[in-house]
Amino acid sequence: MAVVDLTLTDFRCFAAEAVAPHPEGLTVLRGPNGAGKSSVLEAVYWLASGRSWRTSARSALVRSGTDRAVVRADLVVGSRSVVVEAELPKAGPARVQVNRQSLVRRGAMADVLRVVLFAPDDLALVHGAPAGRRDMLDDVLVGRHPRFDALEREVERTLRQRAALLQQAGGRLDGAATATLDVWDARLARAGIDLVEAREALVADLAAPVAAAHRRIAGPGPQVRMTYRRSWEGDLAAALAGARVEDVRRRATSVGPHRDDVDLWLDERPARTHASQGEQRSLALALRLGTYHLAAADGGPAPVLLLDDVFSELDAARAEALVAELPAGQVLLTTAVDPPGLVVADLVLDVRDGAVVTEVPR
Amino acid sequence: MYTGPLQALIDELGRLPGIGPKSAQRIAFHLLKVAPEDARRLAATIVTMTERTTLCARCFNVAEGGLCSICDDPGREPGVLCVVEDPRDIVAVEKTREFRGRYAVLHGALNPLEGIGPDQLKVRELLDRIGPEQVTEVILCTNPNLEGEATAMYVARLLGPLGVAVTRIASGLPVGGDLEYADELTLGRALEGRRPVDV
Repeated sequence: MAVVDLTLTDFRCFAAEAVAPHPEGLTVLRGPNGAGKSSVLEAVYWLASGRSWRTSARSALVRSGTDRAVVRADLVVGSRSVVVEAELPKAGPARVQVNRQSLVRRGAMADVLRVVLFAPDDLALVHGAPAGRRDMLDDVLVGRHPRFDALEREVERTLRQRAALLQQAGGRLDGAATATLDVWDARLARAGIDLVEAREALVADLAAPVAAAHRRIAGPGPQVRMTYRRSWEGDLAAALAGARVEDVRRRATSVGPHRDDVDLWLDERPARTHASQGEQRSLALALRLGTYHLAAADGGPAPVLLLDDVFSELDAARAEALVAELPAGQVLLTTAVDPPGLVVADLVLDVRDGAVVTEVPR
Repeated sequence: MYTGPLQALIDELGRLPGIGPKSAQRIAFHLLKVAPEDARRLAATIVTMTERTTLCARCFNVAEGGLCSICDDPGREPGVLCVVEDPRDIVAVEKTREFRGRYAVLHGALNPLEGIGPDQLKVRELLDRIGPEQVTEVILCTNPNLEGEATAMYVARLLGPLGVAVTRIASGLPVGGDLEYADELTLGRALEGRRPVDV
């Protein structure tokens, strides 16, 4: 799949701008910091996922002085042409249309546009909080099958209902509250185990492509391993029951899919605490590239690869390894510095102050 | 902002569900133009409705004093109860003409986020009917969403020890529809609930 035409209206710093990336090769977006390079990637990412990795505030996406942004993209999916249009008001729900039909479920978007992003913040995947690693898995799951979108929302809402009940219980459970908690626990156990098993299967599938990508980026050296770590042992329903007294006291759910983690290892060292800065960078990039290769191998058109400001994060050797690693499909890459000499761009776009100018491809 | 009474009506209408400020204004201006007796009739209808409509003493359906028309109907089978969240759901089930039993309206579903627990629902009242009405089957007809499913499970657990058959309505495909237009969730649930073919 590829974005062949992207029109941004009142999105970030762009008043009205059209961008035409190379349909099946590497497009380099070049320009000084703050020029709007990442915003182009952000628009594509928003279409695919309905959110931004840079901000959770919708108003930040809308150009100041206006009250709504519009992002429109002409896509090529296999042999099909698809038009996606999103209207993002400063407040209130966004409206997304695919071929002029309203998008009812977010998960359906994966059929026409999937992206894999690597951004400087991705180092947090290695050293940061578990939520980032869980979100990474959950995002990939939605791309794999739309049913995971509904499952993730069910787990999330059940957890919120359970949390509300624990708050209302105020540290003590009477008979009625116990009976209702039983019901939410049963629902959480059922949906939770479905989600966790899907995540575990995904981690197993990701292990090989991530390790392979890591070897190519970092060269021979420590072997990367990934293991999914549940926050409980045995049966989830039994674990919820076992943790109940403590959960009621603390008014929080202490076991379940929302407390799990993915452990990353370099040989026998836990990467979270023991990886050097450089190793963290290689590992974060390997996670994203591994995800990309898995998605491409899952069948269907390959996702669009978005690389935001990668060269600021990588040393020369790793940058060269990354360039050699770039897949054949559509790649959008932003850079404020001159890319390494090895980068053969199919198209270079100069981004300056909310304007995008096409350069002659090299 | 308009003169006192007009603005007061716009404000009142705007508090109704599904009516925004623009609609409230449009309705108010429409009422301004209608004949005084029409306006009076509308006002009287609303007052009469609120004064005369009560909840059925047995099933908590809307009624006009005492029992609702369904509970009052001697042709209804007392042994089978259909549990719904809202009186409007009764109308939906009645349209099928498939159900000849009585109803029990819970007036909501378990939803801790909105502060709704068992005490806010007519669950106790439902349980109290099982013995006296010699109920043999309870059909749980709550909505097929998270809160409705949780409510169904909650009620089913309470009914279990009482020795009645408890069933849950099936989820599946709309009749007369096409498979290709079904969403994956519904189709998945329909597959889960598949049945042997009668031959």
